Amino acid sequence: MEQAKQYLERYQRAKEEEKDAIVTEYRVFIETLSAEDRQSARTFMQTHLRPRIEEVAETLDLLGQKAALVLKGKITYEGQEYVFGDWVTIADYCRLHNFKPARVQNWIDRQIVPQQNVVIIQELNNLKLLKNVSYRPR
Amino acid sequence: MLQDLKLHMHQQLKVMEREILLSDPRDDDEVYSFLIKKAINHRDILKKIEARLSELDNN
Repeated sequence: MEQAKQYLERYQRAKEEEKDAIVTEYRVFIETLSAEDRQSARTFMQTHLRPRIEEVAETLDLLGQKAALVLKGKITYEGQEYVFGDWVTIADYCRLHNFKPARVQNWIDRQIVPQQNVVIIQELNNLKLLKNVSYRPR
Repeated sequence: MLQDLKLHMHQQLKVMEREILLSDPRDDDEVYSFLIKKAINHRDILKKIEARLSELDNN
């Protein structure tokens, strides 16, 4: 199905803001096809897109798990309870205290942030939380 | 953290929804039906995140 291939190539090359229009155009196009041609186009697209959609779905599952925990306001990990706000991600710590992430990571590496103030939650794709208190390099 | 989650989820959902549309699944396609349900669930989670962020903004 040559035209479906062309649409897919256009879609893959397109800038983010152009993609919606290509999808809309393709949806109009497939309505003009015979049932047989539409099935060929469908098979072609699904062969190329399904693995990626499944991959994105897995990423979303992980993000959804994180979101559920954050919306709950706390996380229990290895018997310890971490309340969000008291414990924050590096990105949040940087936003709250106006530091750059590399600087805070450097403090973690040098243990200016004590080990007990950092937790890595492996089940959540190694989500790193640190205790939201002031740290100062010596 | 919620703001990061919102942005990341929004971006990934957009990709998923667009590519499902390009895939033109039949109504009886079980794999795609499952993926569509997942996308709907994640859209709901995103709405909850947005509602929570809005509450935090108003406080």
